[in-house]
Amino acid sequence: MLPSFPRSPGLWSWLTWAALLTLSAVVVYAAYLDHQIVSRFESRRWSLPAQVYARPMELGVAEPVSYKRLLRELERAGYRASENLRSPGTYRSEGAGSLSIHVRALSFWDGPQPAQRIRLGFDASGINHLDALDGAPAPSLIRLDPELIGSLYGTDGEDRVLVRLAEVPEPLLLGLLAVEDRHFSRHPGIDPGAVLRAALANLRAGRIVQGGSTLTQQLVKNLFLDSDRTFRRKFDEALMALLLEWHYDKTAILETYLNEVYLGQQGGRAIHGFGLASEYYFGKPLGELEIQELALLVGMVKGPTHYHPLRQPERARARRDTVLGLYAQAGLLDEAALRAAQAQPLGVRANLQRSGDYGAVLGLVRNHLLRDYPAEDLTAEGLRIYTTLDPEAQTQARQGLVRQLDRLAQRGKAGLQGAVVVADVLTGEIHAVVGGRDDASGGLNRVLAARRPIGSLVKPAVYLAALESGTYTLVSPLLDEPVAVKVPGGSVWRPGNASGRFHGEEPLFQALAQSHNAATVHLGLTVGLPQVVKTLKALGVEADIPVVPALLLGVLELTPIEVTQMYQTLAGGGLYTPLRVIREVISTSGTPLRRYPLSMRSAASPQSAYLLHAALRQVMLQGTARAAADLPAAWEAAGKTGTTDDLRDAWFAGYAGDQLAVVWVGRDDNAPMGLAGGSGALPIWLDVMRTLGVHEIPRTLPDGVGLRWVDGTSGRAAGPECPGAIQLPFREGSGPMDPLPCALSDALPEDANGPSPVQQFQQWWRGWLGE
Amino acid sequence: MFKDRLIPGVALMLLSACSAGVRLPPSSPLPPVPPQAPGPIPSLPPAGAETTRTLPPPKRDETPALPLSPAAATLLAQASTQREQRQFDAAAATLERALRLAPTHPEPWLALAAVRLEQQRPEDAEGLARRALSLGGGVRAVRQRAWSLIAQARQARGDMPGAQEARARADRDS
Repeated sequence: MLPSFPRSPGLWSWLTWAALLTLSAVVVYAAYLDHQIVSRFESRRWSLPAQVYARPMELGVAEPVSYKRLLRELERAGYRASENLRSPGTYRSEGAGSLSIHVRALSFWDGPQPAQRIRLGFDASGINHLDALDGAPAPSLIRLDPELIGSLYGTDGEDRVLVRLAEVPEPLLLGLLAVEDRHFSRHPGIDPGAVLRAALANLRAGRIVQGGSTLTQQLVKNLFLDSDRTFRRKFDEALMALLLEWHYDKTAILETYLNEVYLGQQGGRAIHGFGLASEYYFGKPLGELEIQELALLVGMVKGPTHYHPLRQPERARARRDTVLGLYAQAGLLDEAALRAAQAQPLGVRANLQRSGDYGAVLGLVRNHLLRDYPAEDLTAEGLRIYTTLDPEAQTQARQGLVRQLDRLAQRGKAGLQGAVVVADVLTGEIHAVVGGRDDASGGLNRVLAARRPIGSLVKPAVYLAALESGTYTLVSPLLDEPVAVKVPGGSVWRPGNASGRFHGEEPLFQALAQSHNAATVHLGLTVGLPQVVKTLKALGVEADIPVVPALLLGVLELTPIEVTQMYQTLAGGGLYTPLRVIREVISTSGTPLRRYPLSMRSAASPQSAYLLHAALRQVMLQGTARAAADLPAAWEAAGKTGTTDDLRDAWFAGYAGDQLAVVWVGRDDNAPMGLAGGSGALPIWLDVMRTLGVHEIPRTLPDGVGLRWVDGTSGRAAGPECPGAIQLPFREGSGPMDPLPCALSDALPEDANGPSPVQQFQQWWRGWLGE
Repeated sequence: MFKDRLIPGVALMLLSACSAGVRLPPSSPLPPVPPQAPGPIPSLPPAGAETTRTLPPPKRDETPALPLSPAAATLLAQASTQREQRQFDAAAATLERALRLAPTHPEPWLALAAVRLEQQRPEDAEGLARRALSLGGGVRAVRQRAWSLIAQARQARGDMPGAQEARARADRDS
């Protein structure tokens, strides 16, 4: 007998319709959730992020690497001290003169470098001994692991260090399952038994002590990064977990989980996945972690902030020891091993801040790569990118910026931001990129984004154009007098000097050293705007150049990296060398894909470039950057201060020895900040240069250029006896005029016809005396 | 002997005393400096260093102050082999590595310039050779090789007058 249904046809059809509608709503909703979870999962599952590495340190005899420097680099690379050097990734110190290292197996553009054990000897100038410990012949050069500075993963630039399931240490896998989801291999996505057990445990404890979520559910939660704990959310997550398990097998889910699980935060940067967490907390690859270190990471899954090893060390340790206990219960550790593991310290790196330093570099790398690779390749192909970055220079640059901005803040100039770029004068390789005083990952990368007027930084281009024309020398008289220029639109532009005063007639080098505006405008208009624009382009400026008289005082807007390119050409003696941050790109399997070779071309004649260099030296010795006058003379430091209208931007671009650095200081809201290039940016530049470690480079006088003595202020011909005399370069056929009285001693120059009669006599006389 | 020189000596002593007191009238400017005699040009001495009273006389050929480090020398030898085997890209990569180890030595720059010529990149070759000149142009052999490379680079770019100029310059130092 059928159960009795409501007789009324209306109610029957209403119920049917209601049931059908609800069913279709549920199906539609499930399909929607299905689409969400699958697309999210797929995008994570099949992506192989590009891994970005810093430059490898080269070790060889006569390389200027000190014992201490090498120790720092080893620590950075996650090498640990070991007595027997059995495994790769270890080192042994044998006093201040000797270090033995078991270098890991590495692979570079030119092929693999097998793991090997070496011993290095040091003296005052660097490495003086390199021996192999395995009986193999000593290599002449060994590269150390380049530091992994980040990955390019997803359009939001999140970091990952991807691990494949096969690479994950077994203790981690087994421990994770034992702690978080015992029945992972059996449940369909949700584990009602676990939920019940958790509910019971929580009831007993009177508060939440256990969660009943499976790994699958946690993965769903991580994929959506949603911390809402609403009922609706939990329902969605449960449903999506079921759907996920329906589509994918356990290994795929587990592997993705291992790479997605949230394990910490560093400022704006989230730490996802065990691979990255291992690098972040311990500075080592996952495969090198010891059992107690793995246990700590497993323990942190429950709450990485709550169990933060540095901020909550006791809680973290207790949790780790609990997890180790669970390991023992599950049979992964015996009693002795358990005690030994629990006795170990946490082992987390003391300074976690360092590894977050690279946001600006990664931004620059991504920017450069996108010129040659489509965006999908960056996140899906597992490319390995080897860069020119020097982690030590990066640290010095950032610390210098922060130190000096702090000092300015103490003197009442708060709220300032800055950017620093450091590059190699000879090769154009970028050594350091600092996008701001805080961690730039996820924040504003001012090196690429802060497009500001460069002010007086443009002047060297004006003066170079003048010198290239051949009609000017370094002492040519310029007029620093009021100038009025008609601009389109009918108004008249009357630029003044920063001091408000005009200086009358002065030699060219002084006008540049003191950054006099009026003299520069007169010069620029005489040389011609088209020439100045041509020079700027030759120097490597690719941005739009406004062809207006105000260009001569720097109305041109550039980013710090663009300024670095411009000054690179000047520092390199007039040779344009495109800046490089990437050296090589290698595929995930180790095949070399693309190399970025060193390139250079002439941008200015060597003679004009040399003359300009001498003028830029004067900027540092007696000009607007004279605070730098006590730098070692052998560095031949040269550069230019830059200040913009209303003191909104303070720039300094300069080079010393083999290092070029550009500093920008300003406010993000572009408000005036009351500092000029010399007071705002120069202190940062000096700080960075002094800590970087600069090597001298030779600068041979080009053909047809000779040195002459001139008065350091007026540029009049002088002699070595004259007080305040300096030597400046001049092209052949030109020289200083109007000699000072002190110049007229026996410092008369010889001419091509031989010594003058006076000098001939003197030489004869000395010869006669038998000198 | 001494007696022969006595009278001319005294006379000349008196003359030299007069010449020492001669000063050019302040109003007549010094003539523009005539071209330097061809020859090695001395490098700019560091500011503040002891400088001689007159311009230093033209120096003879100098050897570079620092030899190449063993590692850099090994890489240069390796690059040379690669070049002989016509593996120009590999040679270039090796030389760039050598460059980073010995950036102020003209040798890796010259070697890389030569490889760039083989790689059909004459603009780079000329730039690299110019760099070698600015680092080590005090040495005659460096000048000769650099200008010779520049001549070849200019020729490859079709700049015949420039190539000729460079060749003449190279010949002056050979």
